[in-house]
Amino acid sequence: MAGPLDHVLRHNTWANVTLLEFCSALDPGSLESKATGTYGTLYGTVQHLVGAEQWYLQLLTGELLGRARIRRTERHSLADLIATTKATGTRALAVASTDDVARRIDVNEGEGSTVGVILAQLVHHGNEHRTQATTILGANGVEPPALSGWGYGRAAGMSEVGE
Amino acid sequence: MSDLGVAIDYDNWATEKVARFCAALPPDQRALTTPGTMGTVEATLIHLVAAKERYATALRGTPPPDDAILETRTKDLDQVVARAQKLSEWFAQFGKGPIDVERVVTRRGADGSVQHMPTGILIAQFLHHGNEHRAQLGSIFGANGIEPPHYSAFNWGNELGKIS
Repeated sequence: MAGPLDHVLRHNTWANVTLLEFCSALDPGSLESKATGTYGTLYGTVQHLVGAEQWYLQLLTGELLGRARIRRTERHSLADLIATTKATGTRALAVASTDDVARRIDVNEGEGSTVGVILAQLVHHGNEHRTQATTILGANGVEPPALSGWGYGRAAGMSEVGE
Repeated sequence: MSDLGVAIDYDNWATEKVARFCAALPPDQRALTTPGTMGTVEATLIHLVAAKERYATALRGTPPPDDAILETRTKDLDQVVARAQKLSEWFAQFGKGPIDVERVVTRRGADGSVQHMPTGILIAQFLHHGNEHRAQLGSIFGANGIEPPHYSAFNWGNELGKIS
């Protein structure tokens, strides 16, 4: 039986992979597209998204997941980002199903959080930056991929059109 | 409380915070937008809360209330703030659980379409949708030189004293 946050986290990983695969099919110049009011370039946005999730999972597990630490100052391939988001997504599911939601986590020196808040932040952050990525695509005349929960439901074969 | 309950509580807080921020803007700023987003500040906020109404309706399995927010009729952002607070109350109770995420629910879209899906899928969409449109509002504010409200889950944790 699925845990309470299971579908939410599976949607997050599915949407990350869908967006990253979409970006992989773009011409390299499109990855440098921007839109006012968003985080930065399309590539910078998706790299930040994956890097942050890698950090959240390191906070939760103490382990660095993925092929390498995602650093803002280094260019990682989209294939590397896909591999990392799959690894962090799998581990996030394990954390959600086994960890204590109220367990205290040290975030930065002198600052703490809880497992539940960090998982909520992961979900918020992923959706926020995927939206910025689709805003950049739309503002530059590119029809963005569908990344909604509905899309996840259809991709997973669990959402049916009815009467 | 489950991790899902925490995420739902966060959504309630963030939606109310953004709704109050938007409702306090002058009319010319409510009409702002930026390319790549859904529309104006006002239209985006109304859609965000109207959709939350529909998610609550699907989860409850009962018709929406008479004062439900609808994209086709709602104009008053103070009404949107009030309904966002009411919806928070309902979702906070719902989030306390237990929640059977595999229970199949039926959702009617704004266009009259009908879908059947596990509760967990609808909740994934509900959380995605709130974050998505709050992010669009943040982009509109940023593009128009307005400092957006800080509404991340870390901000929420700080505000509630969950992060010391």
